[in-house]
Amino acid sequence: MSLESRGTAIRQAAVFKSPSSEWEIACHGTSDVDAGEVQQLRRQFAESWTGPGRGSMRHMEDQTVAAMEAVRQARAMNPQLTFDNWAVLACPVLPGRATFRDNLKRYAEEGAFAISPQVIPQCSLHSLPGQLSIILGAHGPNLGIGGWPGTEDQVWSTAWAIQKAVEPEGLWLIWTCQESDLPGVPDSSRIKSLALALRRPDSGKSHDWKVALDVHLTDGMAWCPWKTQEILNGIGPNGPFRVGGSSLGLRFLPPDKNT
Amino acid sequence: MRPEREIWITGIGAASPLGVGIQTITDQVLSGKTSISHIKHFDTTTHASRISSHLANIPACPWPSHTDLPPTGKLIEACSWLALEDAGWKPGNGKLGVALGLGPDWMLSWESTWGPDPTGTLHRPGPPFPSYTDLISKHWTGQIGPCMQVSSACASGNHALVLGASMLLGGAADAVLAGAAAVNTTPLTMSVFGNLRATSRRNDDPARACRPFDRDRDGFVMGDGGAMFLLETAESARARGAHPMAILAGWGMTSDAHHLVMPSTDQTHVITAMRQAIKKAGINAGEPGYINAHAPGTPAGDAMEAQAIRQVAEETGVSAPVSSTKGATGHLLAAAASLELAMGVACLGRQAIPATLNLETIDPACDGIDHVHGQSRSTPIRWVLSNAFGFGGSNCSVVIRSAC
Repeated sequence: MSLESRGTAIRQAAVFKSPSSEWEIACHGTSDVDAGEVQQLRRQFAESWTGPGRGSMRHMEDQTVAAMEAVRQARAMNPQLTFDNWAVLACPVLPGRATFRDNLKRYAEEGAFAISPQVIPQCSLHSLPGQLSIILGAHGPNLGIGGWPGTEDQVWSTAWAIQKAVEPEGLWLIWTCQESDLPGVPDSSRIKSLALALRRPDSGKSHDWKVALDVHLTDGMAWCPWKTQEILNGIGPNGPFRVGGSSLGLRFLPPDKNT
Repeated sequence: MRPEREIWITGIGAASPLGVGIQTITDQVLSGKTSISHIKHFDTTTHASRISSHLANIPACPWPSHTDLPPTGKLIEACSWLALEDAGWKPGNGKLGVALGLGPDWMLSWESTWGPDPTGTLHRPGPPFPSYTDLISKHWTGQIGPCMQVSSACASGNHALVLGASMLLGGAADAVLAGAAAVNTTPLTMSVFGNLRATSRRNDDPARACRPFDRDRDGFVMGDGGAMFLLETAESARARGAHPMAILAGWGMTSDAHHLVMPSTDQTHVITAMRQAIKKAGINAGEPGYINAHAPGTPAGDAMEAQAIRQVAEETGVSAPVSSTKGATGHLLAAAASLELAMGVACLGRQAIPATLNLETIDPACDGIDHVHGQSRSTPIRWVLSNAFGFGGSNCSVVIRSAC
């Protein structure tokens, strides 16, 4: 399951000199869905959406649907949260491959008229964060990050950079991938997603978990979003998570350790 | 003495069908040339739009390339190398970060390398190399800082530049290679935007097809090319004896949160992005400048932007002549903002503003701003604001200032 085990290595090495900035984990969610569930969720999301673009939501790419489900789960943890000045940073991994394959074939057989106009709007790196910014009403920057297998860590370094560039109130960080891209399950049709909402901590001691973004990349280390998922699943006073430095210098701080 | 934390542009690698290098490209644009013509490198019989600004010859790059690298990858490498050469950046100068703006890049990759083979068999798509940032970083082993590839569709180039500046201000790298480049004129890309009715169907008159702000505009024209910038803090650049071509002075980034494809009719968030950039850059009312509009020539997008520019001027007192250069270069999608900002750097040096080509009758919905049309305008310029808006409602405005 771990990307580490397939030998993906971060190829950059850097120590960011700026002090770390700490963010509260406002909520988090995950999804792990198969093709049938994706179809069902896509229909549900489109039918329940009352804003502009409802029609195009029927064409949402599978990883976008999985991410929306993870975000829905996260929002259920903290339903009163609003996201006006939040940034949305998302790393889908090679979204749209089935759509591209079908359209390349259609182009070869029938020509340009047969190509869906939804291909680029729905299947590009920017599609997922764009759709989520609409659903969340988030008016901070929305960016697709990385996009290739092994670029998942770039979400953290981009988060670090974006919060210095525009000072958003919060950050949605999203990872998705097809399970078939992970080792050991080449034929899986499942799609995994992790959504993490970080907000600027209130002054004083917080009762929420925090994450310190003092991203500290170390040459040759690997990083895996699904490890973070395991960490998040264990968050709680008796959870299995232990505070400490990670390969990214990403530190999760429990309530009794932050001030 | 300039502030140490000022962000300098110390090198630019730019390529377009109009030429290689910002001075050559800007010469062409200031003289009213366009590179838009009929597509000849594939059969366009079934296409709604059959015209583009196609980059047939990608500049040579001495870096050894992956054999399966698609044209976009080759262009990114070439522009990166040109930028580093232009800046005089050498191995040993320090840690180099990369912030690369992307568009539908693996689609371009799949299409060029994994399309149907002559027997009609379609291979399982997948990129034949790790990522585009890897393409650059592999040439700087042991000296590479953080790498990011980001996409906000047609605003990607500006976002990459801002993230590059942020990396520098946070001390994550000594220099950052930032920007975007793309070869977008492919069968699938032309099909998608043609079927979206986003591209011009004025196929019988390519040179006059892209008409930003004009009453008779009917869509954008696809373009290839791009620009990569070497960014450094003043402190770092000065230490190695480099000089600024321009100063990256301000930026603003927002999202409409409205629609995946259509711009919002409410310009609030576009205006916010522009205001943020103006404020950060410290532009004063009356200070002479130039606004390079995103304005691709689409009915909805151009009108929205013209109204936003007008409102920003009313609210801030900051106004300037406006033009769009897409009539000359086409719309480079993710790379559009990068090439346009590169031309902005040259315009600061020339003290001249290019005209919006084919702007013959200003659409009343686009009126109320100082359009530069007919011919380029020689005038004092101290700053350039470049707008970029993308699918997903992304807005990113960047301001550069003269280094003189």
